[in-house]
Amino acid sequence: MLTSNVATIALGICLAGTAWRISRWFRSDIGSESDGLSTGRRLAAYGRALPRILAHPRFWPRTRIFLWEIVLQGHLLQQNRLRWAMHMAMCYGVLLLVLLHALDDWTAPVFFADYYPTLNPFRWLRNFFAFLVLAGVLGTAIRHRTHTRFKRIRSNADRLILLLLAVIIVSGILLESSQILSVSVFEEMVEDYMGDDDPDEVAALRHYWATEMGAALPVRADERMDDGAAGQMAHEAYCASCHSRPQTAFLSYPISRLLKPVAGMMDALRIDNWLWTLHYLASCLALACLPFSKFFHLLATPVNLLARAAGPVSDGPRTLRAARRALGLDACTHCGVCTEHCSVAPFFQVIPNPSILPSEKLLGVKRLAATRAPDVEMALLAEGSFTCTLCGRCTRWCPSGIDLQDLWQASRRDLIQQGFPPFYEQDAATASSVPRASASTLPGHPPLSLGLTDRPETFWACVQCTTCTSVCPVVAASDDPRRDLDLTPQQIMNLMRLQLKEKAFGCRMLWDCVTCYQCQEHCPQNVKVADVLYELRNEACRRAMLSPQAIAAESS
Amino acid sequence: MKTVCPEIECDLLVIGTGMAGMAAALFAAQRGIDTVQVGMTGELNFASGLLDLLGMHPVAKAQIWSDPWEGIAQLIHDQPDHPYARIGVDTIRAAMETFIGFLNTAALPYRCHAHQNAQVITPVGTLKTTYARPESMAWIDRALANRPPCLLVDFPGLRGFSAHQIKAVLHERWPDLRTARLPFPGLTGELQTERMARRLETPVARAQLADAIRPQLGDARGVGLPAVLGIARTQLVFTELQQALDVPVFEIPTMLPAVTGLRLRECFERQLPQMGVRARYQQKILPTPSLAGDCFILKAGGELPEVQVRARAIVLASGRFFGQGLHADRHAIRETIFNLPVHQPADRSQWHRKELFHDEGHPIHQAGLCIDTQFRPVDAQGRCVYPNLFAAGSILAHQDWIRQKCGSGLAIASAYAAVQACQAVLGQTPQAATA
Amino acid sequence: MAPNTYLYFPGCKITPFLPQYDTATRAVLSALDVRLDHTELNCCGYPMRHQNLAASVLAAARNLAIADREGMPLLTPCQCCYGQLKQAAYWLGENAALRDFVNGQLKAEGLLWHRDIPVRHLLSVLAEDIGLAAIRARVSRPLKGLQVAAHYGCHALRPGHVVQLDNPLAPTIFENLITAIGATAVEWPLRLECCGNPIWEKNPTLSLKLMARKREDAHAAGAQVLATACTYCQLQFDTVRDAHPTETESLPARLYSQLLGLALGLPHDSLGLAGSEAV
Repeated sequence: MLTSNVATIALGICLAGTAWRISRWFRSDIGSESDGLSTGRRLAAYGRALPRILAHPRFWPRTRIFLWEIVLQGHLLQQNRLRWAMHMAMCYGVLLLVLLHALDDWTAPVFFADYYPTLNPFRWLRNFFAFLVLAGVLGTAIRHRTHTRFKRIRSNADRLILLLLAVIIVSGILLESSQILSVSVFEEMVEDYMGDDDPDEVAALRHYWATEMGAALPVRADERMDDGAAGQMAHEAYCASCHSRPQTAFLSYPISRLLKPVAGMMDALRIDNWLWTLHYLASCLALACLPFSKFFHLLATPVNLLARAAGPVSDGPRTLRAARRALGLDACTHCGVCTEHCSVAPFFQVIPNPSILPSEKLLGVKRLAATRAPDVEMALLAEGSFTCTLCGRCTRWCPSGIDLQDLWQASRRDLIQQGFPPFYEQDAATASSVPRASASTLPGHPPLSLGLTDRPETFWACVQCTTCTSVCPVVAASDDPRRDLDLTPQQIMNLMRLQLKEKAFGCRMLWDCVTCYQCQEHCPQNVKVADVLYELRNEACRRAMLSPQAIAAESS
Repeated sequence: MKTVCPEIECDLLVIGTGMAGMAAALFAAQRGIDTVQVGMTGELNFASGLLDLLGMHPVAKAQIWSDPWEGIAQLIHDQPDHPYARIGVDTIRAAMETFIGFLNTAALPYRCHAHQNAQVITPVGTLKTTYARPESMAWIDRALANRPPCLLVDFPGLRGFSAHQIKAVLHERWPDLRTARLPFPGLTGELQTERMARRLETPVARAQLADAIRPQLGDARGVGLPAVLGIARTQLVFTELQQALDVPVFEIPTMLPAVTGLRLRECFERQLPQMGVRARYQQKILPTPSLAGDCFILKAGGELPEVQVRARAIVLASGRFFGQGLHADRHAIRETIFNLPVHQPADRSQWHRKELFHDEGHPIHQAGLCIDTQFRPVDAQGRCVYPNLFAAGSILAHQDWIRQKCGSGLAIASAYAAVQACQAVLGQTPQAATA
Repeated sequence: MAPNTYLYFPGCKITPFLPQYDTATRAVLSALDVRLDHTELNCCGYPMRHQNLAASVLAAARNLAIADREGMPLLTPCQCCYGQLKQAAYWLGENAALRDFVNGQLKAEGLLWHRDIPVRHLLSVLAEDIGLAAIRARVSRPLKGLQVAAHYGCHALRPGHVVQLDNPLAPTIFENLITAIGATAVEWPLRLECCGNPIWEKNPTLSLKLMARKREDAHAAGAQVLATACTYCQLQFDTVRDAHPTETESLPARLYSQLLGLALGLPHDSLGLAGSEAV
């Protein structure tokens, strides 16, 4: 049959994908610390490490972690009860639906000898689990839309996943509603289980199902004469062993009442079959997507939490670090808690580069782990990455226990290796050879520079007395400032007096400035020397994000 | 919008951080007066570091005095309006002794003769008359008398200082001079004196410099160097270099800004706060002070007020045009803080003479504040403007310190006199009596 | 009346890289009856100042506005954070376009920056709000005979009229605090110079040179300990130096909070000091 083939294919994709994802833990090399070891050697290293880890006295306390962090998601509970409730609902709703509904043929008999899906407590439980998942999905969607920081981040992958879940659940509920109503299903069942030996009995049963079991069967006036007893007897004889009263399906039943007026049309179109196909295919799709979407965190996050219990990644052996980092990347659910608490997130309000935010930067690091193309995306990642102050707050908050602090430091090393050092650490010459995006320009925003360098009055008072150069510790530390710094502060001020700003960008004095403000404090003419140097660096950074054409257009 | 602006109180507010302001704060602190000092430092960066008392009088005759005290006596006789005449020789002497005494205890030793001006060599090789000069320049007088063979050292990259030029200009007075141009230890390219001086405060650089000079010594009995022998540790640098070379070493002043002025500035910045002066350097008095009873209320700050000062007396040592104590516009010269009456030529056409180097100097240089015997600014009728406002330094009228070569003496002595008069006034007021 | 509750702003670097500063500062302030309140604040903006002034000012202003909402002055032990918060307030006061932009952004969170939000550096709180006399009175183990070189740090000191910690050219606050705990403050010419940390990642050679120059100067002045009151300066004189030891001298660097804690008789572990690190 087509449907079982689909399920088999989906399962195959799921298993193969999972294997592929797990294999990536041993192939990717974030932080360049695996010393070029092959996947096999790294796997072997893990194989050797595993018995030691299991035998380690610190491993067994991890059962507590298993219970608290993984089963109860205690970390999240401590942070935010509402979000914990949402996530628990979604997580356990899906899990239990998979166990007790999708895999009912294998699991349900364990609990109930004469299992049938339309019997209670399964009927009620299925609705309850669906309710949990729906509530979780809805809550998450609302949070993503209303939170000040999240609503600026667009993630279609997240939305599609939520949508897929919603489709599965809603189609399931509608399917059950339509089955409750469906006359055709009733007739088929009667034919299968009763035959048509006794029309009266069938009529009584029909009446009973119309009045008690919610089916949209036409009830004729003459049949109303009949008392319910015959119908109930027939029901108990033929149906009750498989059918609990539908009212316990507290989602589907009320919906079936709403749909009753169009029940005839639905039945004519056999909507129930269509819904079944939809529900089934959507579930298969979800199964196939599992290893390729954030659903994979169902596997990766618990593993990561267990691994993390061993301590920070950088404390562990070098050979295992890359794998633990890759595992960490897979454990991310893109929940956004890190971004919510990120120290440098306010910068994102001025510099619209999502890589500033940890939840988005992580996506960039995933990309960096997969492909090392030195392109605009990588430039953006570098800008975001080097904006981070490594305050470690994201790591402390991450509900999946990802060692983000380590991940950021490791990916910085990779970025530098790829030729993307922090902007202020490059000379103007190298900066121009790196592709950059127009990320730091805000169309429509007012020019938010202080404009010191463009106003002649900033430098009017400068008499070139050399005080700024004399007090500069950077000049003092150099044996030959012309060789080491190109220009001294006083010479830069002279260029500015002459409105030759362009000539100052490349000089090393500008980039070796320690911002100690000695020059500005000692200037007898109150020239804001250090502020001017700051502004020149700002301007150089801004220009680095512009295309040459845009710069030309600006200066003309 | 309200702005947080704390208030501080003091008996004396010294306005100005040039030579006169620093001297006034010093004398006040020595007398135990509760003092706040406000001003943008930096002017002392442009001080030569030489303490002139009186070099020339009358300027028109270019008469140079070897005994400054005799010259001052003559000046007082000739120009009874000159601030020196208001101070009197004894007070000037006391002021100079106190000031130099302080520098000697503050590790910045100065030397002077009791009754004789000294001479130093300028960076272009001429001789300049001064009263007190840093210890490191004291040997020059004896050398000029004995004319021993000496080595003059200069450094490539240091502009405005050429040993060869000095030798050529001095040749007739001091024939036995040789020159050497040596790389400065650890520095190449263009050199600034402050960087060189700070470099020599490290033992390594000193040793390297001595090692570089030693082979050049020959029969030289002394070594002349540009004035870069340290800033805060100048005494140490000077002594160690002499020991290392085993001959006397002397400094020759450099072009401004010079470390000789910087040494004075750093010395005061270090010492005055330790002596109890509440220094508010890099702040200035903002316009329009007001009066509250006997007290002045002034705001001090950068661009915006940062503190309100309530002062029972003020010594105004805000300098002339460069120090912004005076301001000249197209019509007149104004005093910038209190708008005090300024003695000046009747109109702008008389500010300058037609000849740039006229023997009598330019009248604008005689402009400034007139004062009474208590060093309080007076108006055109000679009435004291505020009973508790005193003035000192170059802002005073009837002097031409640049041409008379009396800048430091005038600053120090008038500060001394103003603080003395101020103490008398403060002592009379009831608050001080109870305190 | 000086406040005795402050909103504590440790900054980004202390927790991951210099936890002892956090521990010691909390310990001494608690011993001096100062209460610290906590709420989640963001980066002060200092590291962003090179790249984008508006972004750095917005970050600082957000912290200031939160402090205003909480109704407490901000207290930071880091001089770079302090300097940045003061700089931001200065530029916001000066530049109307910047102010409008920043307040427009803050409005979305119900926050507002205005001119009168107090920010205090740890040194000011100790020397002025608590007072030297009160500290002297609480010292139980004066550090008699200890020669301490006070390293001022640039960003809390200059530009003087912006940051307003003390006189930018002739500060005394740090020496006064050192004398208050019974130690001797040595005079050293380079006390106001840069530690070299701002350039550490970009130009380590230069950074080490600047540090070495200062340390040699303090050593020559007879210092036994270099005292700091800034996260970055201490990281430079301690962490960076440890990784690049010199042979000429081995001047240890201690945070002022630690020295004060010792003088107050607080236990070593509450100051983040190992037993061997006593001075």
